Amino acid sequence: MGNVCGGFGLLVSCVGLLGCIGAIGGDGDSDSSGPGSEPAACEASSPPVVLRYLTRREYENTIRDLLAPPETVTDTFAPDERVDGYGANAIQAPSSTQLAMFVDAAEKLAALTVEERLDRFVDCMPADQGCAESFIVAFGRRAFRRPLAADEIASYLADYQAIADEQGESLGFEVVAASMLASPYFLYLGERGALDDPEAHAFDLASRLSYFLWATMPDDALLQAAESGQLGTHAGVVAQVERMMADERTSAMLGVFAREWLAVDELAESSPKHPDEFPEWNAALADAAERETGALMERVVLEGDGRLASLLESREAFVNAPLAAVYGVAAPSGESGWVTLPETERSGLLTRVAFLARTAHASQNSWVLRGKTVRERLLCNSLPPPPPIADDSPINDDSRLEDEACKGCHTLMDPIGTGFDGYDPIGAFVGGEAPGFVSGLEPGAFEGGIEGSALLAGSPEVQACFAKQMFVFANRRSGTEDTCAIGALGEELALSNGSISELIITLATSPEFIGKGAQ
Amino acid sequence: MNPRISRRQWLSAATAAAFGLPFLRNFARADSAAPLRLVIVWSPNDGQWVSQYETPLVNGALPASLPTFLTPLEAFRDRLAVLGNIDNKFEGGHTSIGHALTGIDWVGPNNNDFWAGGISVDQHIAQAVGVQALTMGVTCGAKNGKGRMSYAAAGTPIDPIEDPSAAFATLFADVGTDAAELAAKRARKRSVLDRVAADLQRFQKEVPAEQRPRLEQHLDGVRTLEKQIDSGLLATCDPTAPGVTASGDNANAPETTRAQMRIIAQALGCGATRVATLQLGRAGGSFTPLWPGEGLNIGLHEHELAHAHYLEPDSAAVLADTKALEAWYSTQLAFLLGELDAIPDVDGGTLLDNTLVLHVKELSRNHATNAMTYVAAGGPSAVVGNRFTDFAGRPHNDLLLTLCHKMGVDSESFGDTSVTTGPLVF
Repeated sequence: MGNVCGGFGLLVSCVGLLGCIGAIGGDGDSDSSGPGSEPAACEASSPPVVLRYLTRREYENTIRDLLAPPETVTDTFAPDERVDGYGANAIQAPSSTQLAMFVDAAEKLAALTVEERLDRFVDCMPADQGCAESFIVAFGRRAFRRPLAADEIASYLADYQAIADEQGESLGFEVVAASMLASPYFLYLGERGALDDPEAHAFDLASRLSYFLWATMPDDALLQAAESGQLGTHAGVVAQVERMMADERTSAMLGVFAREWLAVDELAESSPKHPDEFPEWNAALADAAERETGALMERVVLEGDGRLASLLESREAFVNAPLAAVYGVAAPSGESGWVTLPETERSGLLTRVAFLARTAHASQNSWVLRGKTVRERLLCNSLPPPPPIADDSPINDDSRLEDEACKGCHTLMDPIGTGFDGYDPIGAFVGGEAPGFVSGLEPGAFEGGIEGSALLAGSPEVQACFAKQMFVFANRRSGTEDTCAIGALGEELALSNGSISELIITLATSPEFIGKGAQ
Repeated sequence: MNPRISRRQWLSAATAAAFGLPFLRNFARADSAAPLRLVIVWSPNDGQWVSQYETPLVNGALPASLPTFLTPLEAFRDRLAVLGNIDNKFEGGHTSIGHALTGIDWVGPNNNDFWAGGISVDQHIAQAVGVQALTMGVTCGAKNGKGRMSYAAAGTPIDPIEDPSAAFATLFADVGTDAAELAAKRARKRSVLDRVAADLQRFQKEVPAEQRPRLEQHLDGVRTLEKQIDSGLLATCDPTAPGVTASGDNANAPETTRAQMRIIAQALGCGATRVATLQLGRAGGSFTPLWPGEGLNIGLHEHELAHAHYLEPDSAAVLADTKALEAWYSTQLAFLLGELDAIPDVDGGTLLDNTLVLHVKELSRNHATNAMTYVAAGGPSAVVGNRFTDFAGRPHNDLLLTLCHKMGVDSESFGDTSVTTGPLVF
């Protein structure tokens, strides 16, 4: 088989990595670390607000709020393009096949609008005098999340008239609705930064706030806040953000974040298990485990103490009967419910089925995947991709810790993974020795998943990384040009004793997020 | 959901055609010369290599006893040209999928998503012959370079359509619509796309300058859709609805694969396009071939199976599984050839007589990309059948160039010109 690990400069690139740990938010020379001090101002170098189109989930949620269709519409859409694991659609334009899907969906939804949902927008019939203009104004405001300009209303009215004259008023309405639902003003989020128009910036901010905090379109109150100028002041933005954080729609955002943070979204697809060894594993169980990850995030932030450490150490779990069976606890009384997991076996998200199954192969745990995921998602270390030939060795292999060409990277990953060997590839507790070590952390050694979780939960590095993760999620950019802002964010998170909701509020009211809006 | 109708309908349709009844209306307008079509199927890993070298193929006629990976294609032996020892010049391992149809290296440095560096040959040919390429897939995975094969341009991948029902609806939406209604529908679609294009142009001026090129790309896509409104993509034949909705569920992958193949055959038969691709999974593979109904009982993910072979080269069980899986891919290829052979073409032959089908693989041995083996199939204008050709390390780009030439697209090279030497003969 020859050279198992190959030499691709990995040693060099991974040896340098340890030096980077702890430097997530910049050079560490910031003078803003004193209690109560304001964070350093970073906006001078801030890149423009990202331009992106709706993710599948955002599209689905938006259509739900706008039209409440009887069935889902995004099943055939292309998967979202990600930024650091978070669904973003911020780099490429939609491909021609995806554009066709957008147009098809818009046509179908337009028919639904005119046939069954018209009274959500107007109280007239298509043939009534002036009804088309009323519809354009009302539907446009909701679909574009801003009022239409006079010339836009005129253009849409002309489109309507041309079709209405030939094919009747109803089909004229359909063309208007379909055009709006396929329009970039419906599909994209961003900032019309080339316009010198505070009101435009306020409406764009309203959309960004809504898709960050709720993963869906703004409500009337938020649009009203943009229109009235409230979003033009920092205090006004804070007031809206606090209002929104108290709304149950926040849970959708928290669930998406948690799943994408730990890369357990699409768990059923990404993590097949060997059916002979794990007959209980199926798509429904994977979905339940994925749901559990989001539910714990929601529980901790919305009902619990809101601290990052609790995410990593809570033993509360939202389970159904099959998932309860994997955990070895009694099923909840209803179809799903909250249970407390065994004290000697479980801790927070890293000792749960979703994370453990995602970081294992079909029939074996993977030290590499578990260690790599902790490095990348909890410590924000970026590891170089393995050389192509690195695949050709056993899944778990001690020799990679000795081999000169391999050990540079593998000493960073594998010893973390061994600490989680007390769980099998579907996350069932099997016990046994599980010595682990996280190089770069003090103390690095741990025994088993509970100790490992406690080590990470108490680590300032993990806290700083979490701030970065939430920054990337909020702004849907990788943060390479935002090291100052991210550093300050990490410091704030430390000052707030790891409060996730305060972190979210800080982010939503930060200069990087607000862009050209209120300063 | 449309009820599933037996594909054997094609046979009754063929019978109808034999009796001179109007079958595929669009055929009536065509003259008797049938153009060559192209279908490229991609599948992961290196099972062909494992399978092929049990009986090394040598230049000339295929052996009386075919290697395992070819046995499901025995019925089409006279249509097969097996292409051996072709050298894909670009490094990549499980990221080489992006090179397969582009023949060019990655886009620049810091390209962690492995986006390919140029247009893919299917898109190039489709543009040159004036059709829209049909880009299909099964469980192609996340949107990054490991999950995309077709490219409109450097760094601009095309998402494969993974849902047979959606593909069918898009391709054949207007089948059976009467002329007046069709004209009205097209007028509405044109109005929608015109307004979207106008909104895009307006939006472009409002966003910061560095964000405008992406909206220009979006606008190009909208213009492509506009061109399709009146194009052959809106076919007027009588295709069979697939009755399959892709769920991403591993258990349904075989059925979805065949549904996609049937749609490709119908799209070609209806004149909706002349170029199609089918990507079966992502780089490294997407499937766990635990498909008892297919005669496969392999509990490993196919990527793990590929690695199991390196780890245990002497394991008879692993070798048998690898061969069985590759034979399954060939069985699917045979299904596609059968579908094409069941559809009458305008020249009195079958669609297969006028189609070049190419099955490309991701890897040769041990994640290498030299000494690749591919299977080409089709009619006399596409391949010389029942042959194996050892191309002695000729560049993969030469194969892409050959596809252009066979499809009547005149080019001196394709992809990276520095690794193209000239067309292959097969």
